Amino acid sequence: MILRAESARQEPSWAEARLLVEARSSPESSSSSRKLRLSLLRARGAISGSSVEVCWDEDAHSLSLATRLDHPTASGLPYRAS
Amino acid sequence: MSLAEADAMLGPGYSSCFQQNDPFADRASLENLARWCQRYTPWVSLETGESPESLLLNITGCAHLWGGEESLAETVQRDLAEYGLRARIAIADHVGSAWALAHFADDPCCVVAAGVASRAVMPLPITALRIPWRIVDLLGQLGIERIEQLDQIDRDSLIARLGEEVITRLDQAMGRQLERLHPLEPAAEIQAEWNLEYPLSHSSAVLEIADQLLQSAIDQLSVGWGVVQFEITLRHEERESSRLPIGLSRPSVEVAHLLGLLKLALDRTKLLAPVTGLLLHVTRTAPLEWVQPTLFETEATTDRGEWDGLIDRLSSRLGRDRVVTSFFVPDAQPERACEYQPALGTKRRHRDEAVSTMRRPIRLFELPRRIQVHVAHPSGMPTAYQAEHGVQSIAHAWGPERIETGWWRGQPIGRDYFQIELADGARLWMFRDLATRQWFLHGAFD
Repeated sequence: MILRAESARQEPSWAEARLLVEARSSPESSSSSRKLRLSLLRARGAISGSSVEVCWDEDAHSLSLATRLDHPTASGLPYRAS
Repeated sequence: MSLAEADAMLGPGYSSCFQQNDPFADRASLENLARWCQRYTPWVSLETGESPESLLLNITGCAHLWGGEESLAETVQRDLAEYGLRARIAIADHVGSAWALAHFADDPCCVVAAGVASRAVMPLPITALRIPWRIVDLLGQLGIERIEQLDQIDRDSLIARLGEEVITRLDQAMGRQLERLHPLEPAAEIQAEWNLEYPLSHSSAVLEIADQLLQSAIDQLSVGWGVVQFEITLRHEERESSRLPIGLSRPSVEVAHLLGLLKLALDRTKLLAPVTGLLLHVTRTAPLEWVQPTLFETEATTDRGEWDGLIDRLSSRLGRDRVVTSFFVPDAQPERACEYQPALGTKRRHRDEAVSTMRRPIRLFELPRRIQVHVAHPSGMPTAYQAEHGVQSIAHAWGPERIETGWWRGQPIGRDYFQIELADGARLWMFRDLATRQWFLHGAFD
């Protein structure tokens, strides 16, 4: 797994799958837990574009699903694959 | 016992494996291991006897190079474990006491302080003295089972009844009689040479000759050993020789792989002058790692080989110091908590303790960036800071975590670290310098 800055998003990659991880603010945030949004940018054999929000709690060692977000095309908004 | 008896003792689910005893092969393997151990000290020898099973290393003047005797013992044990060998190790003042402790001490890795080895062996059984079994049986019948009991008996009586050997071994274990070690002779150098009648200017021609030299060098290796490091010297007319050192992550005897690495190194280095001769010298060898082949390749077996091969190729192409791996260092100061070493030739260390991804940022800025921070009173927690594009409001802040280092480090630090979360969820790591009361941004958790 290679960790790259978001600025490298437009650069070519040989990766079989690419995920975009974005931080999300949450009133339940603490020093050991936070909310993140994971977006599938590319995956061979899969439809990219879907996103989920997860909560990572390090003290409890748990990664739980916060919400599953609709595919951006489902809302009728224009979507451009990367 | 018979093989049938051994099978019966194993119980259900187990089966015995019968192998012909081959003392010559055993000795050859032990000699190879002894030469491998010369990395710790040049003075390595096999124990005396027809069927030696132990190695004796004279580490006088060497332990400090490994961080002390305990560190050396742990290093040796760990290094051997990487090759699937389980070793019992003891460090003591004398050969006899070290042998006794290595074989009979409760701790498989035993380091005895200087001057107390003779006391340390006292409670051990008399079999630790390396005396014949018939004498051990005889002493057992007399109720003498421990070294301290034997040491209390009159020496003249022991000599008269059991011979000089018992006294000699007892004195060697107690340090009263020195025991000579006969170091193993260093292995013959593995090298191959080719002198040219006419100079060569093309690297492709040099590679063809190197191919034959590599094959010749591989043929000189002991069975079961591979090349870890080799060097090729190119001789030139009217110019100093060029040297190309090549290292590998894992020992190999594949000529194609070694030649590929040499080609990458040659691509990186221009031939300064026509080549008049080549000398290939294998500088390091190691036991080959045998992997049981399976009918279907698994990710575990292929990933490791591919990874090591990638490290080899990148290091040859870019240079050993350009391909690095990181290690955590137990240092309070964040800038010093990580160090980089060449990936090639750096042994896989035991797994570092997991570092909390919530307590320490993923990215640490090269230098702390000074900022202006707005602080709430009286809690002292930061509420906003001056960013490039304006005032950045802080949604959450946790801390402080105080990190201080001692004055003996030359430039001690004293910082109160805070983890902050912005309105968009981004997390940053900032600190307030205790001496100057200034604020700095030091890292990002994203």
